[in-house]
Amino acid sequence: MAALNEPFWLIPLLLACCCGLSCPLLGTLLVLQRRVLSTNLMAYAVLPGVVIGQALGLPTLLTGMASALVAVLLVEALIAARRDDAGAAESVLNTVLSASLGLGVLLVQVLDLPVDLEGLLFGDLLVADADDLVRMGLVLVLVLLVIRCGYQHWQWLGLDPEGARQRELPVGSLRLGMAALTALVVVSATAAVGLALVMALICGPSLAALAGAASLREALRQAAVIGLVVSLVGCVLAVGLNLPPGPLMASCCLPLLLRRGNVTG
Amino acid sequence: MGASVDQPLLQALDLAYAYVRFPVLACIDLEVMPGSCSVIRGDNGSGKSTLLQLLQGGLQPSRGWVRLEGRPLRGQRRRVALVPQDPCLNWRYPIRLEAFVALAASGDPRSSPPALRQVGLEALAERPIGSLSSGQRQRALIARALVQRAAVLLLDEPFACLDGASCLQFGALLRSLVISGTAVVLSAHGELPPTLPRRRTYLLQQGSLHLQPAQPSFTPWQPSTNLFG
Repeated sequence: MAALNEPFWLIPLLLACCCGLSCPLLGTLLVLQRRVLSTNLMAYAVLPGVVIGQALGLPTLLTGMASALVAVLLVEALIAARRDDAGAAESVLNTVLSASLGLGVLLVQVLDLPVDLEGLLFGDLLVADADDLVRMGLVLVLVLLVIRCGYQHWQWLGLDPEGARQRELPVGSLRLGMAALTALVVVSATAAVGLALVMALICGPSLAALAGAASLREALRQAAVIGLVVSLVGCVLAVGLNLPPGPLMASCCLPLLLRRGNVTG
Repeated sequence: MGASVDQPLLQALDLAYAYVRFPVLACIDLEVMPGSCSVIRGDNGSGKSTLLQLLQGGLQPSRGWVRLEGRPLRGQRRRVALVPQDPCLNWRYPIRLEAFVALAASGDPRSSPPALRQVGLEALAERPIGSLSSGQRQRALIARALVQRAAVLLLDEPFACLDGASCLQFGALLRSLVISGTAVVLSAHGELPPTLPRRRTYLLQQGSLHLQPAQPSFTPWQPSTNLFG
């Protein structure tokens, strides 16, 4: 426990806190908009972009985001082309998800890159630096701004997307913007929990918060508090038990599913 | 700027629509006047819901056009409120009834109490929308249309899930809306409550709309402020 007092732990701890706030805040909107499956797709589709970014010396934040957005657009185009096929949406989405992961791993092999695949997939808070923290902090500010500025639009999208279209709200642009923000959060959270585990932090606290909330505002507040607690507990346990923090934070989300109430269907 | 009394509020001309290669509607002409009630009758699958969606702008016609006060619908679709028979609405969303209604008025909390009173739901204002019955949900959607100041109210099979007493009350609510100047267009294929206002009835058959002979009588009705009280 003494290690927490050392400056060495300060950055990982703060990074975990920022991550623990950003992911559940965004996750609450995504759960209500029923975009969890496409978020999971993005979490994996980021990988080829990050690998290509590392290979070409480009900012991995941008290449990862671009890769995730391409995957989402590809899935939407494929689903639209197969709209009459039963079960096409889930099948297309999961196939693109697996293919993206496979492509990422293949690229690492083919390009012979010194990429830490384990770190990318499961996170490694201990190697996070000040740049990671600043980036995650800025992402948190952006998430808060997006929620505040588009609060009513997000309510329409989660509550009544058809009604939003009837009111001529730019549903397509809003969804694309939300997908871009999701990709940004996922890439930025890689250092803390990794691509494979970020979904737990996006969904777990959000579902627990929605179980007891009477309004979106209340759900967002609760999700942020729960996410913060989960991140802190994960970090403290990681130090105390000498275990990796990412998997611990993800595991801490499991008991949250026991909280039941008006869970959004 | 509102439509004058003799000008149609909502107008459809030569409207046609096809699902992929299957034509559903053809050569539909319809004029809806302010403060009028129109009923579109037809069998299941005759295209009533499709027509209502076309009138709201949710579907693009393969031919013809729809205009509101002589102008294209684009940019003023929110003045035409459509209450579908089975709305794809997330009723488990964490929101109270009054906030749900106010959302249609850009979240203005002062907008919902009068609308909820008008549809008889003011006592449930604090309830989460997920706890409402099907009839109450329909009235909540009407209240939402009221606060967004819709000039035309399109209702898809509004009496399908209501019991006898609720049908009478709902018919009376529609009558009060018509008296206040709202144009109501509803689809139906069963019996209509006697509390509905004087109306034009159309039959949608094999993709074409036919005006039916006028109803023989009209029962006088004194609307109250709270029809569900």
